[in-house]
Parts: sequence; structure tokens; C-alpha cells
Amino acid sequence: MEPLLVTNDLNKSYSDFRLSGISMEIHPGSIVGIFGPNGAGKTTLVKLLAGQISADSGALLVFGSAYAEREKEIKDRIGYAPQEPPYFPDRTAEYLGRFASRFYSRWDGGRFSRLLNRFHISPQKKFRHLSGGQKTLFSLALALSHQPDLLLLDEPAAGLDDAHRRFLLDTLRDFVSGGDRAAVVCSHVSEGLDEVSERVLILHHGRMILDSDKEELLERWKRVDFRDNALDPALVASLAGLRRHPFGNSGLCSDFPALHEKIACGLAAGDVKVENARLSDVLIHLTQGE
Amino acid sequence: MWPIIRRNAFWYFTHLMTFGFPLYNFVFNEGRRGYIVFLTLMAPVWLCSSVLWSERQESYAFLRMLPVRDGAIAQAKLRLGLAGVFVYWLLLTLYTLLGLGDVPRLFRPLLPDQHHGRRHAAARHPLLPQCLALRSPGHDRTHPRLYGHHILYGLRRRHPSMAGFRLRPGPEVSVLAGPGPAAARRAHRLVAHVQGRSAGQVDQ
Repeated sequence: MEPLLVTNDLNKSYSDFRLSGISMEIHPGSIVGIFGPNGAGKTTLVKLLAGQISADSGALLVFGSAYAEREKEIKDRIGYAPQEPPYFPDRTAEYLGRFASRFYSRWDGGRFSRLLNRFHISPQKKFRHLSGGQKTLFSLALALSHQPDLLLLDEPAAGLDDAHRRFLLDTLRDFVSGGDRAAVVCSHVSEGLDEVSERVLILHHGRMILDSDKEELLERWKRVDFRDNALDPALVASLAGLRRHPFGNSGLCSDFPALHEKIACGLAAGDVKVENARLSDVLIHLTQGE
Repeated sequence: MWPIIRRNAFWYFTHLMTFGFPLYNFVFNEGRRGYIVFLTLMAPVWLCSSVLWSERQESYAFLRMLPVRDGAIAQAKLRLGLAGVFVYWLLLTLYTLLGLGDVPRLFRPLLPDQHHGRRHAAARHPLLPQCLALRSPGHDRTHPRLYGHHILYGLRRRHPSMAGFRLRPGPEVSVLAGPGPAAARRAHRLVAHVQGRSAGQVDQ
């Protein structure tokens, strides 16, 4: 199946920051999570993908075309929810929806109203009077109401309560369930979003340091809990992010298949326990070296 | 593109009203056409203010999210600015022509006059010297009635002896014409002109 979005060696430079060498493909039916610490370049990357800024070099094809060729058609099929919603602050939610509806060919006013209602956002409320979470939800409503084929969400869970975060995750699953649409979510907090992401990209200092299928990633990265003296000191030294607890030790293993045989005895004896690593642990280890 | 133009045009219009309002009073109500020059001087202020204010309220980040090309946004804004300048220029030109007494006939009904708009324009009607009085129909303030008032005002100005004449309510516009068939014909034409149709009643 043709990818919805392809980038090849994408570069963007600012005076104090450089995003470089971003190559990736986003296929229909997938949810891609872009994670990284603050200032890693996630927002810059999503802005590039959404056509908000242009790259200094490299190639970006969305739906098989470059923005320079078919900007209007591409944006008509993209739902973009930015990190900082830039809507007219003194206008009501209803006006903003009406304003946006004039530009999209597949605008669904009913869906927009239902989403506002679902998010408890009064249509007559001015945008600047919305709370932080409501602004995020309003962005999401606007991004979903024109039936896009590709969703680009920048920090979509920021400021959301648990119920709305759950709704967001369910919405993302529903969105790609047809198999012909895709979503890209980027966040500095992996909690929650890693549940729905099928592919994980990790950015650090403007470079992509990890691009992996989530299942594959979790096969390789394991969290190893072990009692004192249960593992060979050389093995312990190879673990990352070692922590000492009152009941033992824990560390992160980046290549579990290679380690598996070496700890088989400990596993059998019950002195060693292995769990899937959390994405946040992997993220911290890769970006902070802990 | 229209939502963007409409949104920006709002600021152009409101600022035109804001900057022009004090001058309209001098020009239209007090008839001091010389004040038009201030309207001219205000043009760049109005334009700059409109552009700056509309840009201040603009969110290009939002517009860039929408399926519209950057070039199209820039073109729309440029066109709006040029259209605003053209309208401003057209207004000034027409008022200036009016001040020179050289307004094309086509525009005369559209333009306010020196003191009281159509009232004064009617006073210059070529048929007026032959008319002695005018009755207008109805009690409503419809166009023929008002126009009749304007003509009567002009008559009074030209003929102080007619100061006592009043418009009388009746079924139709009627003109009291001077003696002779020629005066009657001219009165007929005046009635038709006032009513916008050929019917009329002339009292000799």
C-alpha cells in the first residue's frame, strides 16, 4: 500500500536549533508516535509535516505530492491540531468552526457540533475564555470535523483529564480502524499515547535516534528485576538505568534476546524477573543516558 | 477566500466610518466642502490604520492550517487594500466634482447636496420657474412626497413670494402650474418626473 506520507533526509535549521536527517514513511492504518524530550524538535517536525513551515532541504511527499505542487488539496485532507492553538482569540467556537468550514471540501458541521457538545465546549464561548484542556479539545474537534485522511496531533493529551484522554485514544483507534487513514501523534510524555502507537519514533537534539515498530521495540527492551548476586556482575554492568530497591535491583536491557540465555538460570530460580519495558523508561534512557 | 476578505473588510469599513465621521458632518450637514481636503489627508491614516488593525487581529498560523495557498491569502489582502483605496478615491472624486458643480447627471441623484441633499438639487430643476406649487400624495414619507418637499423648498428659495405655500395631502402628486399650455406641459413633465411615471394632475 502506498504510504500517505514520505520524508527523505528532511532538514530545517534555526539560529539555535537544527532538525536534521528525518526520513520516515507513514502508512495507512497506522498510528505513529513521535516522542522525545522538550526541545527535541517534535513540534518542528510536525509543523513540517503539516506544511506550516517549509524544509531547508530534503523531500516531503504527502499523499504522493509535495506541498509546493498541491498545497490546497493536501491540507484539505490533513487534520492538524497544533500544540499552541492559533485561532482568533476573540471569536466564538461557533464562528471559528463556521470560518474553517468555508475552506474544507468535506466539512461535517454536525460532527463539529457533536464534538463540541461531547467536550462540553459552549459554541458561544470565546476561544480565549476556554481552559487549556478545552483549547486542546477544540483543536481536536476542528481537526476531526473535515474528515481528514491524515491526522497530525502535536501534544494532543496536554492538559486533558483522564476521561478526555481516554476519549482521545479511542478516537485515534477508531480513526485508523478503516485501514485507509493514519495518525501521527507527538508528545514529550509517552504515557497513554504509547498504548495506541504502533510505531515509535524518538527524537533527540533534532535527530531521530529511534524508529521502530512498537512490538519489536518491546521485544528487545525489557526491564530486569533481580536480587543481589543473582546476575553476573558483567551482565549487571550491561544493564542501563540501574536502580537499587529495598527488595532488590532493576535495570533496563536493550537487547533481551541476546541476554535471555544468560539469565535463564536466574529466571528458573525466581531470582530474576523480566517485564516489558515502559516506553518512558526507554525514552529516558536513550535521551538522558540513565 | 471570501471569509478572509469579509473579516478584513470589516476593519476597513469601521475605520472609514471612524475617521470619516467628523468630516461627514462638516461636508454633508454644514455644507463645507472644503473639508474634503481633510478627508484626503486622512486617506493614508485610514489605510494604514485599517491594514495594521486587521493584521493585528489576523492569525496567519490559523490561516496556514486551512487548505488555502499562502499566495492566495496575500493576493486577497492586496486586492482588498486596493479596492479600499479605489472606493475612497471614488468617493473623494465624486464629492470634489460635486463641489465644482460638475457632477455627471448619472450620479446626481446619488450624491448629497451642499446643504440638504436632494432638496437643493431639486431647487435647480429646469422646470421649477414655471411651477407655482406642488401637492404630494399620502401621509407617508415616500420618495415622491419627499421629492415634492424638495421641489417646494427650491421654489420658495427662488420665489420669496411663495413662502406661504404648503404641500397638501392628496391621492396624487399635483402641481399648480402657471397660465398657458406650455406651462401646463412642463408641469405634466415635472409631475411625471416626481412620480416616476407619466400620470399627473395639473391645476391651472
